[in-house]
Amino acid sequence: MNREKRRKLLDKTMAWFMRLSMAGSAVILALILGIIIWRGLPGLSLELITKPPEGSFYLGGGGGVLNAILGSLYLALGGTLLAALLAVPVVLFIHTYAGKSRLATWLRLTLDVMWGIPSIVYGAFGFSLMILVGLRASLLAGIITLAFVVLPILARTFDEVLMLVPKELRESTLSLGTTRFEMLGMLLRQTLPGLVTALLLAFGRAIGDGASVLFTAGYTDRIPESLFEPVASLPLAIFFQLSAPFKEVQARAYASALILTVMILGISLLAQVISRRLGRNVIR
Amino acid sequence: MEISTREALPVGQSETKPKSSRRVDNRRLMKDALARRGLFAAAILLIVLLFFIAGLLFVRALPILRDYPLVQLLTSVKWRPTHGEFGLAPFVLGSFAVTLVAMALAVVPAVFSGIYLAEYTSAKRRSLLKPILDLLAGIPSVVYGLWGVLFVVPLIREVIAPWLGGTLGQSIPLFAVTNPSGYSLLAGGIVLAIMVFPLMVAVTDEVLRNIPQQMRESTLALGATRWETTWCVVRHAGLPGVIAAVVLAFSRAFGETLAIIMVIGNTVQIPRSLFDAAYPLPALIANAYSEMMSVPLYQSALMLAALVLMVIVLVFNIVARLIIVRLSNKG
Amino acid sequence: MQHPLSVKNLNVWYGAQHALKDINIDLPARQITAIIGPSGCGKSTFLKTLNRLLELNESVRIEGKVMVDGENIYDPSVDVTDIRTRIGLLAQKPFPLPMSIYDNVAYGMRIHGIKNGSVENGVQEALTSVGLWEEVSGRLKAPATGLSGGQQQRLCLARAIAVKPAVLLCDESTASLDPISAQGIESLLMDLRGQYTLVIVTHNIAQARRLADYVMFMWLGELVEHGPAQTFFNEPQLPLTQAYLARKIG
Repeated sequence: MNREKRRKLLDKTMAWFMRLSMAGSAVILALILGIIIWRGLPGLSLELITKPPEGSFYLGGGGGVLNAILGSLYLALGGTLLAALLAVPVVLFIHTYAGKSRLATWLRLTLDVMWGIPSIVYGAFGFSLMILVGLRASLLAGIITLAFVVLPILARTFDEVLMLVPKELRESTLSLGTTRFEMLGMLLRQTLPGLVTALLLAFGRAIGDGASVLFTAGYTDRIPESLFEPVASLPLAIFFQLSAPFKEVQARAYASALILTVMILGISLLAQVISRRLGRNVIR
Repeated sequence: MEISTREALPVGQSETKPKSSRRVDNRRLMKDALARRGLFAAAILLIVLLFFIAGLLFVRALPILRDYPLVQLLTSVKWRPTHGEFGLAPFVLGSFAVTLVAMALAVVPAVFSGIYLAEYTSAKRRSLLKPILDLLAGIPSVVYGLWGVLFVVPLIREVIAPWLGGTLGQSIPLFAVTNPSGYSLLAGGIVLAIMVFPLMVAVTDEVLRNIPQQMRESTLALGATRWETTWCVVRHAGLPGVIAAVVLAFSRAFGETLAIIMVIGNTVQIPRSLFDAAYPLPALIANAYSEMMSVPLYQSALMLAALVLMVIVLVFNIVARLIIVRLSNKG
Repeated sequence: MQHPLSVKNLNVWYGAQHALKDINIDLPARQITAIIGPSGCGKSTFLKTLNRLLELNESVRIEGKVMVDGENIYDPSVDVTDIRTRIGLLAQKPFPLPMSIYDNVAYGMRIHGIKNGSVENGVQEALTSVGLWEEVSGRLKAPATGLSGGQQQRLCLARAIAVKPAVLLCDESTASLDPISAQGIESLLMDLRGQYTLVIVTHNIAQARRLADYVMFMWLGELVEHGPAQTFFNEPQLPLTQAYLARKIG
């Protein structure tokens, strides 16, 4: 009987410990969001999101972080689209021609390995690449580096979507005598919402990534007008403003972090809505 | 309309197609062959790119490898670029130290949360809990760093350090308060632990959910309690997957940059206490880029640091992936 | 106690679907009761309500009573692990736990706190009673997954009886086996009759004829007819039963 009681006690304790762990993560999420909102709100103003920095911005003067917001959008948009140029064909290759072959396994492993490479390493690589081809720190260099960072994310997310396509769809298309290339069109139509979701997820990740653009995109208070000009980004704007010794500048760093968080959460929410909205004609 | 000619043929004639349809078929097949080659080229390009990344970093690191033996670079603790001393040991050790602290804090709760999601909770509650993890995973590195500065660092400075230092710190060097600022190994470890938590939970959850339900029924039918069943499932079927989850999280934490750089203090030393400041590899690379142009070999040393970081991370990452691939082939 | 297992007003719903409709039956002790019926009629569902494994399924709702030795196993005060210890299960497909042959049988005994020395005897006893001891005594430490399908199922049987249940439930336990292995399991079940109250689910009427002392015939979630095997097979009362036994329906 004593032993029975011990078994029951262990069972209950473990269940509670698990609930506690899970609850802990919820508390921490609330703590993070709470503190970012609480500290970020006071520094938030219309000027912050509608104006680039003015002369004495880093000493507490006027202006905003529009340069960084737009810069981040440019960088992320360019990086995501560039990554899609390679990611989409590779994933389609896996699903139309490679099937369950060894090459498909290797391609997935390559993507997973690329996902594992830290973005600071991509930053260093992008920097070396710039020297190699004689490019200066610029929007273009930042886009290329970011493309490397989000390529595996985009590819693997799209890959997961394609894996959910029922085998029957593939078989019935092929048994109509279509070539694999024609089947590819069918696959794309079926998975378009998934592709859009994957693109948005990659876009969100690209906006939040600072380490890769640290060397490659440069930093400027101006809003770039060409691919070859340096460009600011929101993560780096937060990073640099935080190290300034002025209260006003730091408050703007907190507000910028709030903006960045809202942007990223908004994008991930949008991704979910879109995948639901576009998913109506998709066979499940 | 053209396309349907082939299907319209009576069965017996399929071997001897009329000429017109063969022409159409040829065009279709050519398109197919073209697409196959194009996509294949993209696939090969991807693999080539991976080697190109490693190759380029290696070429850039070559100048310093010519002047100093690799072993010396990795084991020397002296980092004085202006004096031509490029010892990477403090940074490598700093990275391992902060990652180990993060793992020590995160592994048990994360694995238990993963077990909870996979084994204990209902589908309904699961769909409520999953978004919490997705949100945690979505928060960008720099925001974690800022949160660390605003919350974790003061917490350590005001609460944890005085308390731990006053008790355990008197006798155990690991807990000795050496640095009153709060910017420390522990701050980095806490922030990293939270950052890799969702990844570990997700992988543990997924691995456990792939284990057949029959195994649980078998043990439950013998009169095992929920926990005994879970333990049996985890111990005998899920362990490699859980290990993979931990290793994967380790490799993710090891390369984290912006969040760490903001809270860990960035002092070139070998950390001996949780409250010591440290200087992990990614922080070195990120911080030093502005000053490297003026010092000979500095840039090459940084590229070597990036290469070393990449190799360490990839070794852990590939080990984890191989475990997962092997698991999914078996199941 | 004449009826160790008796079911009263048992109803089960999967979501909105009424899967078991008001089942009432007393099962005879130390005999083999066979549950027959077409697939999807609720046989397995009924079986799994008897040791509360059904509730692992989330969308399920169970009402009614299952009395084991006069105690309702659905009473909130009842300890579910105790119920499952007393009511064992042999599943449809053999599923050895991913450990050694020895540990498979020892697992149940160990969690119930039997000391190592007795465990060793228990393992040998259980393996002997399923006729596996001679075949595996030389490789007890080998992984159980290396055994053949028939051997695995006998191992699962040994695992189930090692914890000494009073009732043993068999869910189409021969369906996934080759005919010779199936025959082996059948004769084992015959041997176990007298020691255990056996409840087996089968879609194979011939098997029910060979094994059963008592028969339950289920149809679309309802218990249509039940009775001693002799009477049930020779003089079925209802037209539905007659049609099923004549293989006109189902």
